[in-house]
This record gives sequence, C-alpha cells and structure tokens, in this order.
Amino acid sequence: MAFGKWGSAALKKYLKQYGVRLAVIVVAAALIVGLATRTKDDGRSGALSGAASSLRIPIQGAVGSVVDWMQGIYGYVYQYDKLVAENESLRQQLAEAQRQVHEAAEAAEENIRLRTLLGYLEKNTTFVTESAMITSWDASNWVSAFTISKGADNGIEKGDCVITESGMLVGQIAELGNNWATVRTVIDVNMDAGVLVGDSSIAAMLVGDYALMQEGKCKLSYFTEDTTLFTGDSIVTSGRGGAFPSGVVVGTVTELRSEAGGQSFYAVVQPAVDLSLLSQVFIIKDFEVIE
Amino acid sequence: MKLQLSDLKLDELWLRIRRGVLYMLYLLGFLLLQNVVFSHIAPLGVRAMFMPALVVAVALFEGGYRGGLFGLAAGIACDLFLAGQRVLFTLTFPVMGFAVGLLADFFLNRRFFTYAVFAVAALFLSAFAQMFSLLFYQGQGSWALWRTAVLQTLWSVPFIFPAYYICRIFPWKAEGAAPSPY
Repeated sequence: MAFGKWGSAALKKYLKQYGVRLAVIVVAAALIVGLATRTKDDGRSGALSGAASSLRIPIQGAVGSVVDWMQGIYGYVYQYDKLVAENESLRQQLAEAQRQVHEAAEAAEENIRLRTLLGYLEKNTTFVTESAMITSWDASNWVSAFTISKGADNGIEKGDCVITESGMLVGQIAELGNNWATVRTVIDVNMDAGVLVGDSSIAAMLVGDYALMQEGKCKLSYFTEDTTLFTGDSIVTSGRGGAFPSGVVVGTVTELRSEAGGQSFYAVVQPAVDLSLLSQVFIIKDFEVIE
Repeated sequence: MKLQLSDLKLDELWLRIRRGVLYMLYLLGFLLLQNVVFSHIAPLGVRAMFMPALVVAVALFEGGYRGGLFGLAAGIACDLFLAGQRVLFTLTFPVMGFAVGLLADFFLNRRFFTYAVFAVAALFLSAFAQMFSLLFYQGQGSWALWRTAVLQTLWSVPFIFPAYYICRIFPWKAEGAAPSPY
C-alpha cells in the first residue's frame, strides 16, 4: 500500500484523535490501579486488590467445586458400569460408605495435622498460631505463592511466618486482605531469611533464586569464606531480625555450587516441606523473640 | 426543552452495549480459563498466559482505540489476578492493542496468518515484560528466565486459535463492517 502525503496526514490525525486520548486514559487508569492496589501502612492491601480477591476467591472456590463435582460424576459413572450386575441397594450402600470413608479420611488427616501441631506447640509455648486452608495457587510463572482463607480479621499481619503442622517453614505472608492473605513460599524469588546451618550453627542467609525455584529449591548464601558446609546439613531459622521465630525447620543442604565468577560458592537447599502436598498451613501470629 | 433519543441513537446505544457485554464475557471467559483451569496445568513447570492474544485479536478487528481500551481492561484484570506485578499489564496491554490496531487500520489485513504473527509476538513480549525486573534488577539467572519466557509463549500458542475465531464470529464482524480511520 502506498503511504504518501495523504496517508501520512491520516496517520497523524489518527494518532492525534485516538492515540492521545487513549494515552490519557491509560495513564489515569494506571495511576488509579497503582494507588488502589498499594499496600497500606498496616500491611493490608489496597481497596482494589481486596475487591479483586473478594471476587477471585469465591470464583476459584466455585470452579474447584465444579471440578470436584465432575470428578464425582466420572467416578459414579465408572462405578455404575462396574456394578450394574449387582443390585441397586448394594450400589447405594457402597456409594454412601465411600462418601463416609472419604470424609473420615479427610477428618483423620486434619486430626493428625492438628495433633502434630499440638505436639509442636507444646514444645514452642510462645507461639500463637492460626490455621488456614489454601484456597488457590498463583497462576504466574514468575512467583511461588498461594492464597489462604484467613486474613487481617483473624489477626494475621504482613510478614508473619507460615509453617506446617510439624513446624516446617512454608513461607511468609506477603499480601493481606480482610479475609485472605497471599503467602510467598520458601522457594519464591523474593524470599530471604536468616538461618543457622548444621550442628555448628553457622549463620547464613536463605535467599530465593529463580532457576532453583523452578526445581523447588532455594539458595543458601552470604556465609564467610572459611565456612565448611556438608550436604545433608540441616537448616533452621535463626530468629534474627524478628520476622521468623528461631528453630523453625527450613530444609537440608543438597549440593554446593560455585557462583558464576567462581570466586564464591553457595549451597542448594531442599526445603523440608513438600509444597505440592500442602492443603492446610499454620500462621505464627506471635512469638517470643529470643535475642 | 424535551430531550428524546431518536430510534437510531437507541439502536446504536443497544449495539454498543451488546458489543461491550460480548467483549467483557470474552475477556472474563479466557481470564478464568487461564487463571483457574490452566493454572493447574504446567508442562515442564510452566503455565500458559494467553491474554495478550485476545488483545491482539480485538485490536485487529476493532482498531487502535478500542483495541487499546480492551487492552486496558485485560491489563487491569491480569494485574489484579496475578501476583508479582502491580501495573505491568495495565500499561503494556493498551500499548500493544493500540499499536496492532493502528497497523490493522492502515496496513494489515485481518486474516489469521497476520493475526498469528502479531499474537505470538505479543505473547513473547508479555513474557519478556514479566521477566524484565527479575533479569535486569534482581540479577536472576538468565537461562532459566528465557526458558520460562519461551515455554510460556509456546504453551499459549494453541489459544490464539479460539481467541481469533471467537472474536471473528461476533455479529458485527459478519456484516463486514471493518472500522476505518478515514
């Protein structure tokens, strides 16, 4: 297509008519979104983030229910084909029994988690915890985070430590709404925590690394040159800085690697927690800081 | 003085509302598909992110201004639903929409091949925008970031087909009423 003087004038007119108008709208919208999603001083997210999460959480819950229902239908049809030769009452009894077994298994699992937590809390009497269910995992490829069903209304604050029932570090509260919170996991690229390594309690920093995040691992760094580390060394939080209580189990050293320049080295840490199996977590709302 | 909307204006208003509602449903449908259904499917640890393909489709058929506005809506929705960024897509999607719409109004045809080229470019640009701060400000390993960006683009490519063909069957497209800047 020839793009002569007439075309150039049309393009200028087009840019003036639509481009400027759109730019003003976009900049205004970006400012509004930026301000409305900004985290407040008390750690709570902005109004727009709160509204979006209020919309998102029930939708994700509903979709999850639909998926469960469809799985239930699939299971039912499968059983129907299998049991068609048997009588109707036996089939119903079986379905009912299966439902009860499923419910009992879920209750038993939760019971075990709570009992384990109770045992852990008996050893750590200063912890004030809040249990929460994971409602959804973040869809982004660039972070490792999930949303939980409790928020500021339950006394949770930004930066609170999140653990499993047996006291393994899961992550940290990164964003907060009234009845929801986003947890940044231990492998997230923005994670950092002071830790102690091995029997000699060498101080180091646990930091997120994108490449390791994809392997479900994280990085141990910032230790002194004469430090000796071994694979299999266990890592616990140091409690320094006040964000995490001391003694929370983080994981173990699985590998030692040198940095790109070869001048220093870091350790690869396999977290103790299996993030893919998590369904319920416990937030440490308060604890005694040991200096 | 008594103000009264003419039948013509009412018809136009109704068409605009219908068009807006259809595009909103189009956006919400794909947004839920991406963030709720396909967020559970991550081959090689990477999930699809196909919203930019929708912005390109709408921009191609609707032109720069409406494409930009659709991009703005899609960008806000993506920023609110995905963790890790605040206004990244709110700023980048409208630019993509306007640029593709402008090109479509002046230079491009609206066939699938043209769309596919720009949609894939938009998918990759979005992935690049997402990894930008990790790469340049946080000093994260570049190989892993590029790998994720490429895989995210690849996994999103199948969705450009429904994005294009659904957008194309909207009723005003069937009438052949392509928008024109003239």
